[in-house]
Amino acid sequence: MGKNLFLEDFEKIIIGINKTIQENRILLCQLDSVIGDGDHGMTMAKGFDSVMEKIEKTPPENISDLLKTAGNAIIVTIGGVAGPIFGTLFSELGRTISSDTESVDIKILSLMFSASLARIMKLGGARPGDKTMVDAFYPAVKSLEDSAAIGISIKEALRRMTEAAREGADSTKDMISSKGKSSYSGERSLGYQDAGANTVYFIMKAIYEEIE
Amino acid sequence: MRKLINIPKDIVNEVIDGIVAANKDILQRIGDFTIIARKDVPIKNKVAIVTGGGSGHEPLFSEYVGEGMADASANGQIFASPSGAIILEAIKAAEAGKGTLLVYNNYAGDVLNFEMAMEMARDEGMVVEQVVLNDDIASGTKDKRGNRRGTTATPIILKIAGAASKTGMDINSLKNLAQKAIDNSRSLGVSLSSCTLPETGMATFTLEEGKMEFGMGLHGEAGIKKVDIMTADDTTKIILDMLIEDLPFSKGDEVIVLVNGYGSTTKMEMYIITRKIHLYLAEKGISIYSTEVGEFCTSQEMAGISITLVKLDNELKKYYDMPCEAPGFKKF
Repeated sequence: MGKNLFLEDFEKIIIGINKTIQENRILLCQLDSVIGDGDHGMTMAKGFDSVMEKIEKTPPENISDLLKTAGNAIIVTIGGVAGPIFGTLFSELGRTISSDTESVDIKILSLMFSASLARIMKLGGARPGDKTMVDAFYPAVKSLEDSAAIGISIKEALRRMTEAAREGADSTKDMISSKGKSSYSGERSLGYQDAGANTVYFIMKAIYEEIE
Repeated sequence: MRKLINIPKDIVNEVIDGIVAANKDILQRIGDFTIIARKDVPIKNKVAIVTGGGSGHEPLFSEYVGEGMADASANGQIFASPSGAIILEAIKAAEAGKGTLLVYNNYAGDVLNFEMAMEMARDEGMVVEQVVLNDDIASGTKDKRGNRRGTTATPIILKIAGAASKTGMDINSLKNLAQKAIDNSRSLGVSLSSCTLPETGMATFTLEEGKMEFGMGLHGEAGIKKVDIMTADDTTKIILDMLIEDLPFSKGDEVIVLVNGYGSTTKMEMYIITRKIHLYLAEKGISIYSTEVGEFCTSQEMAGISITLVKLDNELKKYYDMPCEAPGFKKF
C-alpha cells in the first residue's frame, strides 16, 4: 500500500464495510433492542444491500461518484434518522472531492472526513455526549486530522482512527441519550452502548482492515 | 406485552393492508410501498396533499387520506420516519401537475426524509412545498417554536388544507393557508402510563402508579412536569391555562377543540374532559365553533389525553366547514 488511495481501494473499502455490517447485523440489533426498537442492524444491512446492488449495476467511474452513489443508496432506502445520517456520511465524503480526483492522500482523506462530520452534525444537530453515532465519529475524525497534521502513514492513521471510534463507541455506555429515537428512553439508556456509534466503529474497522 | 400481532416485522405492512381492506371503495395501496393513497389519484386541477410519518400512531396518518383531506400518506416503521424514497413515491402517486404540498410533523427523522424527498422531486421537475406542524407547546419555548414537535393538530390542518386544495387553490396560497392554521394551533397532553414498542415488548419509559406527566411526547419523550394524578377538571384547567397563555387565545376568539385519547383512555374520560373544556372556555369568553372527541393520534396503549385548540378566522372556518370523507375524519 502506497501513500494514496485509488478507486479500487475505495471499491474494496465499500465491499469490506458491507461484509462487516452484514456479519454484525444481529449484534447491532441486540445493542439497539435495549434502548431502541431493535432494528438498527437489519436497517443498516438493508441499506448496504442496496449500495451493493447500485454499484454492481452501474460501477461508478471515480471515487467521488462511488461514495456519492453509496451514500444516496442508503439515504433513499433507510428511513428514520439512520438513513439520512449514515447516507450523508458517505455522500459527503464523495461531495468533498471532484469527479476527476484519481487518488486521495491522507491530507485529502482527512478533509473529506472533516466535511462529512460537519455535515452530519449540522443535519442531525447532535454534539459529542448526546449518545449518538457522533460520539464515535467525532473522535475518529479528530484522530485522522491529527494524523494528517503530523504526516504519518495512511495505514497507521486508519488504525488510530479505528481505535478512536472504538473508544468513542464504548464511551456511549456512560451517556444518557438526548437525540434520536433512543432519547425516548431517557435515563434508562444509561449503561448501554449506542448502536449507531458501534456502526461507525464497524465502518472504521472495515476501512482499516481493507487498507491493511 | 399484551398485543394481538403476528411477526413484528410485518406489522406496518399488515396495518396498511387492513386499512385499505376496510376502506376499499376509497383507498388503495401503492404497489408494495408503505403508501396509502386515494383510489382516484392523481386528481386533476388540485394541488396534491401528501402526509406521513412513523407508524404506530393510528389513525394518524393513513386514516386522514380521503376526499377533502390528504391524497396520500407515506408510512415508516413503528415510530420511525418513512425513507425519502417512499415519500418520493407517494408524491409521484398523488401529483397531478399542480404541485404537491407536504404536511407532516416536526421530528428530526421526518424533516430529514421529507426534505430529501422534496429535493428529489424538485430535481425531477415537480413543484413541491411543505408545511411542518409544531403544535405541541411542551417541547420548546414560545420563542423557539421551530423546536416544537407536531402532535394532534394534524387532522385539523389536513382538513383545512384538503378542502382548500379541492377548490383549486394554487400551491403558494395553499401553503400560506396551511401555515396560518398551524400558527393558530396549540396542543398539550398528559400521560398516565407508558406504551410498549411492539417489536421488543419493552416500555418506552416508566411512570409510577399514581403519577401523571404533562407534556410527555408521543414516543415517551420527557414531559414538563410529573405530578400525583389529579381530577379530570383540574387537569383540564392546567392544560387550558397553558394553551391559552401560549398563543395567546383571547376573549372573543373562536376555536376548534380537539380532545384526543392516546390509546387506552376511555371515551368516558374524554367526555368528562370535554365538559370541563366547554365550561372553562365559556368562563374565559372563548367560544367553541366545533368539538372533536376521540382517538386522532395515539401512542400505542399509552393512557392519557391531549387537548388541541385551533383559533379560527373566516377563511379557516370556511374550509373547515366543507365536507370531507376520510376513514378517520368525516364531515357532511
